[in-house]
Amino acid sequence: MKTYTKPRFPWWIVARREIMAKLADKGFWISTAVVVALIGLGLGASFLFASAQGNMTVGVTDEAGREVVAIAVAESEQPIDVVEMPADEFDSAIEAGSIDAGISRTDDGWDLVVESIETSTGAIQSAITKYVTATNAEALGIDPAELEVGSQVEVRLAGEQVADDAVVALVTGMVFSVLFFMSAMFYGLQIAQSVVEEKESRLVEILSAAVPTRDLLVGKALGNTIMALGQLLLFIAMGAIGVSITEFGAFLPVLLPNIGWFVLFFVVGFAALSTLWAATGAMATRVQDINNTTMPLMMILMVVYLAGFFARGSLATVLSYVPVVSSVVMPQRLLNGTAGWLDALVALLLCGVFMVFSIRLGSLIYRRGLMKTSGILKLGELFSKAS
Amino acid sequence: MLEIKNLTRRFGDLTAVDDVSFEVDPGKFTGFVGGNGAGKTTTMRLVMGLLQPNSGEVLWHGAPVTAADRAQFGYMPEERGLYPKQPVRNQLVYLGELHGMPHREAREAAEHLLRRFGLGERMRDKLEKLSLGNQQRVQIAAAVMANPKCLILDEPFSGLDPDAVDEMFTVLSEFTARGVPVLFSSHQLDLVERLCDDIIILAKGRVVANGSVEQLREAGQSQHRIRSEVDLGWLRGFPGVQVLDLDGREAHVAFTDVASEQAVLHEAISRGAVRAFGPTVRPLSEIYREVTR
Repeated sequence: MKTYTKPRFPWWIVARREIMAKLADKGFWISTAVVVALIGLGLGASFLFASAQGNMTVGVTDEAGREVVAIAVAESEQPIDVVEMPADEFDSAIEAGSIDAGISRTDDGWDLVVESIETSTGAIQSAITKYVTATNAEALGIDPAELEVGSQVEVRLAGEQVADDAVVALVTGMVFSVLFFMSAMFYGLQIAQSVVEEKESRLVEILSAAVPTRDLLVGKALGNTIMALGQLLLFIAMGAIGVSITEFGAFLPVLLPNIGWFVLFFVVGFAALSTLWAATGAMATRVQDINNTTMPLMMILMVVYLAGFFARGSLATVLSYVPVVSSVVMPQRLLNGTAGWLDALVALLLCGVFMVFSIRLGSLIYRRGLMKTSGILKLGELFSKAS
Repeated sequence: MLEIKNLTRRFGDLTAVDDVSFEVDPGKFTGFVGGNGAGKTTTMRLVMGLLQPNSGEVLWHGAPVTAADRAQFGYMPEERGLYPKQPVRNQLVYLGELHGMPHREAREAAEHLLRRFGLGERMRDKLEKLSLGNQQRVQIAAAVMANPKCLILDEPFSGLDPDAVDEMFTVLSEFTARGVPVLFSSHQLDLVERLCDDIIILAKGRVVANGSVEQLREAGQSQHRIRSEVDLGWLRGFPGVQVLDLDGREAHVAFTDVASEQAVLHEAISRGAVRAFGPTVRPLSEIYREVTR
């Protein structure tokens, strides 16, 4: 009769089961579909909003009107469509939505017809003034350019201003925070719950009699990290496709490498935490106990989340090297240019070291907690002599 | 051979297993009997390495048992443990793979066992959809999936009807026929008596009796039943005889030694025809009550 020896990579067998169990879980597909739908809805709405803000169309009565619009286009650098029509049709055309404004010359000046006082007509008004001034100057034999000498106004905003790319960095950083928080919380709780369920059903006795507990722990962490990463990449791909069709599409080439860094940091930070999530599951005896045992990890996640939103300056610099928090803060710093790839590597290395430590600590808690069949494993029991 | 030598395990002030020693011989069913809290489950967990002993050791073929040895043991915990919401075949394949079986072989073995247990049609069903008896069958299948070299089964037959017990016993007998030692615990004394070659009785963490069923019976007082054509009242006061029950021409007695047994037989024949004279078979329950008293 054939006998079998310990498998070479038992952790991979455990990881594969975790993945297959998740793929067979309706809840996983529903939650993924909901997030994908939300991203899709958000992008769809912004796309519709962007396309609703199409070119302005101005009704003109003659060539002078066309020249006014040409000046407005040159000054504002915004395309404006022109439609020629009689002035008495302006009202009905505006009501029908075929034009946004209508301009016509009158005996003593110009008429500008708009639907509402809030309609943006600054460029048109300024173009009319410019056109009339130029025409009058020409009639008087004066060079229109001379009339404008000294009339240039340089607008300067008070205080330090935030450039567009800095805003993008800020927003992206917040998105990183939310994604990390959501994934870590969702998968972390599921890891803890699956461990406590195996404990409750005593299946863990069969499993840990067959393979070392460290393999069980690493397999669980790996399986869930792969699933979380897959889901994250799906969300990022959806987001990137969406962004590419909005006005922020121009920032994508800058964003993508930094998203790559974020994914790398996500994997290491998430994996480091996942072994600890499994350990918190092993500390509990019943599913209801998880709320108590996972509290320290919840607090760590809150710190990561808040750091992603609020950490600035030297605080951000320090936090960007702190394992797990670095998963969110370092990609932000890379994006806004306050850190380089060397900083990123150092932070990754530190997070990797923390991961090794968390696997060891997680294994210890897991081993001690697995055979505890009542109450919650206390820290004192954890570090006491053999149990 | 599995040897348990002087195992002791304490939980705080409680000594759950107290200097326990016994052997589980190859190819034999060894029944592990004891009341609640006697230390059966703790001993089995110590054997499987799930708990560490305070002292003592477990030997496998004469050497301290290793994790690699234990990975080749089949184990069934007392509180049943499988994933309730997963298909039964997948679970068996998973456990087979963890014991080192290639995926395909694990799948074939799982399907073979499930068909054998009458669950061929329900391989894809979630465990929780099966009746408790069928869940128990799957649990036993899980323990024997990877051709174990030793079987440690905690209450394997609880919840099974008599036919199912026989069916499971037949499967397990195939393993003992190959020389696999099987240690199983049970509350059902009649079952242990019927199925086991050897019996270990545990009480308050200590082994109070250990041996084959015959050895255990012989270890106690020798009891006989006598039936005669004449009244047996004379047995009262006969030297070396303790009358346990007397009903005219029929008596249930205990002898203190073989000589008094022969003396009584001669006396009975001299007084009249003897219709029956022989040792009574003591049920295990009686021995159990005696040794755990």
